[in-house]
Amino acid sequence: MSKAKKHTVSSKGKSKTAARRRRGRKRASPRRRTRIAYTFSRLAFAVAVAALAYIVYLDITIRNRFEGQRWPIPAHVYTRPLELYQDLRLDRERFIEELQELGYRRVQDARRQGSYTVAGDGLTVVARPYVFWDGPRPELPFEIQFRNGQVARLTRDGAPIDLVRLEPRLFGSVSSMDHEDRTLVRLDSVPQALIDALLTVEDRDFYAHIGVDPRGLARALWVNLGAGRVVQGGSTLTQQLVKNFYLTAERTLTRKLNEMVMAVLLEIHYDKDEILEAYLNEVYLGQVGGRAIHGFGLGSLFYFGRPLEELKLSEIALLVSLVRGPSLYNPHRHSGRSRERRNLVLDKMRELEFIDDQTAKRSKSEPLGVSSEGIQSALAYPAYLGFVRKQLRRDYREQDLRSDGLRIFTTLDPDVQQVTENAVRQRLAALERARKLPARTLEAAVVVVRSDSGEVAAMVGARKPRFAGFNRALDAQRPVGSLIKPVVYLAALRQPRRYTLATVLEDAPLRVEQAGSPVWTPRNYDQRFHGRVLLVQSLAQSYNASTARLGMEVGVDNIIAELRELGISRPLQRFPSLLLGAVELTPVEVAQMYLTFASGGFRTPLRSIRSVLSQDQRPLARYPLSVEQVVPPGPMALLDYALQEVVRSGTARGLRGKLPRGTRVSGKTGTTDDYRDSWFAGYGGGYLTVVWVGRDDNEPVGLSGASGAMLVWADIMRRLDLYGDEFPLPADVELVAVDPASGRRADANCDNAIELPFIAGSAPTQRASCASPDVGDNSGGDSGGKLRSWFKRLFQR
Amino acid sequence: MGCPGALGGRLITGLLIASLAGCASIGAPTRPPPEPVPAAPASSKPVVLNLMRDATHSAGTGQYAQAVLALERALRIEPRNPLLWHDLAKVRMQQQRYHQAAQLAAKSNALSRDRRLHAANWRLIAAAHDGAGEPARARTAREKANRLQTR
Repeated sequence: MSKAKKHTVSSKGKSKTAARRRRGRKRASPRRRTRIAYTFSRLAFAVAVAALAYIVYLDITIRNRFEGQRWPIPAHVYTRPLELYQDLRLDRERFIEELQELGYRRVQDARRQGSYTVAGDGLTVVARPYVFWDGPRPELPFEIQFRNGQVARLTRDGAPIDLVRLEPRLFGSVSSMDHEDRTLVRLDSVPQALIDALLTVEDRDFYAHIGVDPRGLARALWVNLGAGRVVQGGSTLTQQLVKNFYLTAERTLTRKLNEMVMAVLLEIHYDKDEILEAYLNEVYLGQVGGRAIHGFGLGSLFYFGRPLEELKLSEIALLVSLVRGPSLYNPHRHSGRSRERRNLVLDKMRELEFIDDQTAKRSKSEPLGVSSEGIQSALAYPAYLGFVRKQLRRDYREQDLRSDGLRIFTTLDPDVQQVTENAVRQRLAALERARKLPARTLEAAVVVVRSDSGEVAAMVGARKPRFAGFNRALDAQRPVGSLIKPVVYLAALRQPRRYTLATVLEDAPLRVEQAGSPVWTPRNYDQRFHGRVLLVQSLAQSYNASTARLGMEVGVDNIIAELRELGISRPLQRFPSLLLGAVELTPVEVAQMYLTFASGGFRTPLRSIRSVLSQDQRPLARYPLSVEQVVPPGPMALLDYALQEVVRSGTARGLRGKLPRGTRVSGKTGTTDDYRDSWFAGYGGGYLTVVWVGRDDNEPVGLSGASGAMLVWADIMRRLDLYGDEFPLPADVELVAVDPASGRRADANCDNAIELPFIAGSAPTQRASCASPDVGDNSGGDSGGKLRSWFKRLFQR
Repeated sequence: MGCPGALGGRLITGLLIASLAGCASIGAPTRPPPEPVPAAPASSKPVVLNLMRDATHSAGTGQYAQAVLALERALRIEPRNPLLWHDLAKVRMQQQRYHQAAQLAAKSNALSRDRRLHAANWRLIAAAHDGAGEPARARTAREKANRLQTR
């Protein structure tokens, strides 16, 4: 560039000198004329050199960008794939919905990939070929039968098959660079009809011209003159590509000249097919939110929810019609104008005899066929996507993530996500109505996790889940209130010689003075003190005073150490008020903490990413995953029992009847001062769900954990496919009957006796006053028959 | 070869598959188990059994990553199947990822009350501690395994 400029400047200088010389002499002698001619030729030479240098510069510019990687391709993010197998709980309607979300077409006789046929209770489906993280799966035709909301039979050509994995659905992209989004297509996989349609309306002589098309230009000029305005551009596809690829959108003569020169250069270096393929991937076809949709590959997914090779002629014509103006002919916003333009494309194709009259007529009568799935999909789940971004940085190496075209397979389950979004929307509106709260003031955040793998199935960060604003699940730090209590009790139950579920605690006024923090006098929510209570009841009823006493005995430092074991890494202050939840955590952190309880004492990192494949389908190396037993089985079983008691008889007893019979659930309510935050964290049936409800401005909402968040929680959990198996009692845990008033050993003579789990050797030895003294020390055994059966019911439900 | 015993039919199928790589290591006492395993049905699902078989095959040919993928896939179908966690622990052991192997075996124990499986897991934990160069912890784990087997 600088070289070319130098040439231009020096030649200008020379021409000025020449002009002065000419002015100085009125008439030139033959000798002089020769000299002038010489000067002119030098001038011409200089200009030619400058022009050549400029062309060389353009040439380098063109080739630099056209060789190798042409576009930064953002990483694409996918949902979980649906795995089908016999006995899977799934009803036919839901399965058909899943197929529709994946853009499968319902036809009479499914033969082509991406189609299905419904016949009675069953379906025939032709699954698309797909490259999964564990290898490619070719196109797969299969039959599936449903009975009583379950998959009854899965066959291929009548022979049983084990497992069918549908392809996952694209729901977002992650890019570090700009906001252009595209999926690349190869020319040989593009339907011929698309190429025919495109060349028909945009560049008929594409395969004949040299990058610029004088005839086309003349034709455009003629039409424009006739119309008195610019109607036709007269640019070839090559020029359009050059314009989009290298130049700005300004309309100046210089730019136009550059464009023409570069178009010719491009044609010299590359063949027509290469240029066409680049065009197909470059072209701008629309905008969703902050994402610009480029290329026909993504355009097809975005407008029709299906891959390009599955589109009908009318749909292809619509995509091609968008080239001229994606917002002008936006089929979602201007369906009339869009239809006109699409039909014009079809008419022109008929004119050039690419299609016959009948085909044109039929295609023109078809509906636009655009699906809202594509758009919804493109904007879907911003909270989850935010979490994926964060975890990519945690689990993968920076340099691997910088490469292009990664495919990120997540653990997001669109069904669970849908259930969660609906529950939030409906329940918050109902709460506002019932409690006469101002409409649309409540906000919420939810995290739904699979208990054993830590896979995050759904995440909602706002009441309007499609709105990519503040992600409360990930970023809202709120005081957790009583949600922290299980941590205090766990720290105590780790010491079976000192504490058991039957330890008697004092729920009475308490005054804590500690240097460096204000005097603390914890009170209960009901403003009463409950006297002597069993440890299990204290947690179940969420008493503050007794919990604070217990916490002070155990020690704030031990509670902090416990929080660390459970995966909370943020800095924590050593205030006694920490014992009652004066600590701010995000819903995601709460989920991480409770996940250890839900998974039987094993700390398991929350995961949203199952696998990442590079553009050449290689799995990226990740930091290894791990489970870590941080709570021994005994104390864990005791804590879990107490958390079940919260639901059976404690602050969450309102859940009874809200979940399917026989579901064993453990949970904890959380309420903060003046009812500003309403929390519920609970697990069972293989899922852990954490819900927060409150206001962004931190004003009171008048909801306790049980009257707010717990209702959202129940709305979600009762719609999930809960798994029946729970952790069995560890071998070193025994059941012993105790008298709830004294916490001492009970027997059949004690009317109110309850049976509690104890770590072997830690059960009370002193007998309650109601128990008969003459029975041996193994009491609770022979006389506890009815208690035992009651207890068995609890654990086997 | 085989693991005789009066285990529940489904459990025995699972154990058979779990132990294709070495049944003897699981031990085969012939008396009935102390009690049934209510919370851990090995698998009534052919799909899970097949995935376990695939995993065993992959691990046997050194394709550990594939084996892990197959077991993780099975765990998504039956997340509380203790035999799947046990098999995953065995693959980690083969990969010499000792710490994870021991942790996964502990998880398998937490999900089961079957003494034989517990013994097998404790043996695996002992071997993992040996591998990690912690002979004292290995000895403790081996003692636990032996107690479970002889009782």
